[in-house]
Amino acid sequence: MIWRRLYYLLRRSKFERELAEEMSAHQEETGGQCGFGNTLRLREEAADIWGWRWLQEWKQDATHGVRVFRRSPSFTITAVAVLALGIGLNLALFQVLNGAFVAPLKLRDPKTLVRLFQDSKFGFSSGVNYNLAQFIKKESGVFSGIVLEQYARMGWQDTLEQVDVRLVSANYFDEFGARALHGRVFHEGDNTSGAIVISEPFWRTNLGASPEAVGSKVRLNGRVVTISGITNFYGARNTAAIWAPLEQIEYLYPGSPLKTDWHARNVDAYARLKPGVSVAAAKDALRAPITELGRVRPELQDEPWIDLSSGSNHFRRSRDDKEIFVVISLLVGIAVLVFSITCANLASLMVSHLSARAPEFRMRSNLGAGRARVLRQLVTESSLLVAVGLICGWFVGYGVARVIVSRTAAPFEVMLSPDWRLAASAAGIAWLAIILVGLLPALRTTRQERRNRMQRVLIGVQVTGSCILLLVAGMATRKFQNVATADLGFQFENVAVLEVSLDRYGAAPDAAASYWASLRDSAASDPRLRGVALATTVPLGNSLNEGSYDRDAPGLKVVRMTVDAPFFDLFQIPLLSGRTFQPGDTRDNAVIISRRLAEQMYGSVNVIGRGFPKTSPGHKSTIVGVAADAKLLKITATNMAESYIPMTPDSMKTALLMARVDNNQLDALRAAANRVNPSITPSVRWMREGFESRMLAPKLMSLGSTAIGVLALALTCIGIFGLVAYTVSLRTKEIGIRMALGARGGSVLWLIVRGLTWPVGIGAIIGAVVVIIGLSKILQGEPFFVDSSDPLAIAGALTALIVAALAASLGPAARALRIDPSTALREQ
Amino acid sequence: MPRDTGVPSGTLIMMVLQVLRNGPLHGYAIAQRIHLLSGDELRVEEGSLYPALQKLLMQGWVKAVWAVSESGRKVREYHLTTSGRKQCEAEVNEYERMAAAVKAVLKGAR
Repeated sequence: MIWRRLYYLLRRSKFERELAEEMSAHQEETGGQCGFGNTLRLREEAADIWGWRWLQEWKQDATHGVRVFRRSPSFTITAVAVLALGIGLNLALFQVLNGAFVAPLKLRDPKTLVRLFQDSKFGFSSGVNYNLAQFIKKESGVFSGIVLEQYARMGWQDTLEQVDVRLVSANYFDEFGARALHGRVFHEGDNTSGAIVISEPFWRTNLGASPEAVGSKVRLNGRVVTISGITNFYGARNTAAIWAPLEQIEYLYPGSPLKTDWHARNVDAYARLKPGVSVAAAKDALRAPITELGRVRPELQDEPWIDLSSGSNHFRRSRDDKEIFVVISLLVGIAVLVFSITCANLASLMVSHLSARAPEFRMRSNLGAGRARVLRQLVTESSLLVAVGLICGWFVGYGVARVIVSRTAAPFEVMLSPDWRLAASAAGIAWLAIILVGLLPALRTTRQERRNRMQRVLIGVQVTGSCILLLVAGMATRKFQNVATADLGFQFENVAVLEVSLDRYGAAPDAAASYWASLRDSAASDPRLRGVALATTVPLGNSLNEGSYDRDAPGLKVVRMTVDAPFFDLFQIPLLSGRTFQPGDTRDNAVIISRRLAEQMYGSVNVIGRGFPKTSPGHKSTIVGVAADAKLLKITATNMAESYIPMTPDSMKTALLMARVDNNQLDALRAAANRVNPSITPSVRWMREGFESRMLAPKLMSLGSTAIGVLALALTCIGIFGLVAYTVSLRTKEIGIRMALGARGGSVLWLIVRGLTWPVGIGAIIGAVVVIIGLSKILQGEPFFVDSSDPLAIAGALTALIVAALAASLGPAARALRIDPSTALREQ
Repeated sequence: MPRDTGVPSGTLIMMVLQVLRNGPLHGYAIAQRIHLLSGDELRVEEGSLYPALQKLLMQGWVKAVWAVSESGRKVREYHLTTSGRKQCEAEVNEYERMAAAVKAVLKGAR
């Protein structure tokens, strides 16, 4: 039946013509004697049986709506622009958020994927031993496959930088369900020697998306490898550049101990459960073979066992992005606020628009249209408006998201995909706002004062939202300025970092120590390199850890660094008392702490020779020195302190070297390393890159909130402009009389603007109170550390708001002054 | 405007289907046939006949074909389809069952 109805719809004019012919024939037969009455009406009644009347009426409404919009282009353009901006901005922010953080990786059958953890009496780790994983693969019988992955940074071609590499087992791509965009990824049983797979973004940025990339030879860690394929799969960590076969690790790291070592737990392992095997059952099944392994291999004294947890949870973004995540969440909150401003703005526009059309509705109702019919007309018009706004917003959203991603040089790869559900719900909310806030009240009340009051309330809502946004933007911008020019307490300009994973080359502690000693000598012979220090982590880098001493220094986060004696000299961190490290100091007996930590823990900087930590029940080190405060980890944080412990022979394997290098002579450092051992390829880079990435979050927050604040202010000004212009047009006659009676310009202006003082004033006060009292807790804490009582920021934001509101209202108000009394009086 | 003078509500569709069982008819002829068969009791108004015919078309119970009537006029004849025939039987059976039941009640309550 539905097909017949659709067919009718398509051939409607033919059907209707036939019906008309048939009925007129009938009428002739009866000689017009019986009651045909209104033939048109009879025909319509017969045609109504097909149930398409609503469509026809909708078409009428829509046609009329389009005509109305064409007649008032300024209203239409404003409304569509407001809608497009409101919807587009939200869409953009949610896209970035979704692409960067929320969207889970598309893994093949994630339910049967588990991650393996290695546990033992010495502790729990997310890394698993390579040989243990191989043993489980062979013996367990509950897994159909085990995927191994090891993260590394390796030298790329002849450049000085290093790139992210994952050494993976051959089944990696098939188990995770990743395919090649071009060429071929690894498959189980392939000969993968000398082959690598690269990511699509890496292909674009480092190889210029060259079509000849697949099959070409490149150098990785100084070794020649062939690119076998390009993929767009993103694994557990946030950046992925290159995948290389784990089985061929010795090719990239000659002497790698991976396959002989039963102690290191340095491989991430994922397993595919066989069909029907539960996580608990798999855990049970592993117990016996691992116990047996302990008997065969007595060197496994720490009695390992394996823990499992569901796999897909482990494919979230890494912790490093958390800070940016929180910032973007705040931006999302802001976007929601902007959206409420948009809705208030639209509703207010609608109220004005409807007031102007009052005669039209009066006419319609005089001609017999019911209230429902008029309402349907307006609902149809709003829907048209929202539909156009939605389409424009879709493109605005995509464009803005692209700009955000490209301008911020986000350290994450973002897959942009506009979400139609989000777009539809945004449009739906805007539509409801127009109907519920704009249409219904306007139709129900015919009294002008109430409409005016309604509009003033809507303006107040918009001002409140803008005020909140401007205040946050002002504070964020001030914070960014302060941070960008602040003294971090250590000098990292011209300091370069040389990194090399000696442990991956299988270097023993003495060999590592001698490598670094030779490198130090080699550097000393080059006049371009002034000052060298060793540490296990880089200040402002990603692998720094923070801890806390809740009993001795509550609320303080303490960065712990392993450094050698010249470290303080290199970074020009003054020692306030005591000495730097000297031979004989070990990580168990000596520590240097920062001034702030000393003051929080002991209330004094005279702490040389005292124990650290203060009230630890167990082992204590002796404080040998107190260093000045230095912001080594979080530039913006206000709750950080530092502690330093000396290098040990074992930490030499994972050490890195920092050197002060004369301007732009980065290759001097690489050359020094080459003189020591040409077969080891270290990476060198400037420390300021770390600083720049640490500045990203405050920069993003400042730029983002300012852009959005200005946008919100612009929307509000549109609203104010509209209201004032409308007020002037309503009161033309009154103004004319006043002017004829000799009122001065100032008092006429005041008459017009007076109505705005309350909504703007109250809106601004509510906004300020919300930010200064309500949001201050969130803004002052981690990770924003924004000073919510910065008088300059508050004054700046409020001034911007008031000046903009005045500017928006004075334009149309000034028009009132130009009213000619005689013409105004002739108006009705 | 009164819809059906003389036609009991809900029976029009059934009657139209029933008169079409003997062969195709055009709209006016259907009205005439019903009028005659009812012994001049029932009069089908155009205001109800044509909506009913549209409904039959929509349900697929009849097909409309243009033809030339005996009087040489171009008319639209309605042919009963297979599903229309089935529908007709079902409606007649149902109606007879109901009518018998109503009759029984009237008789019993006398």
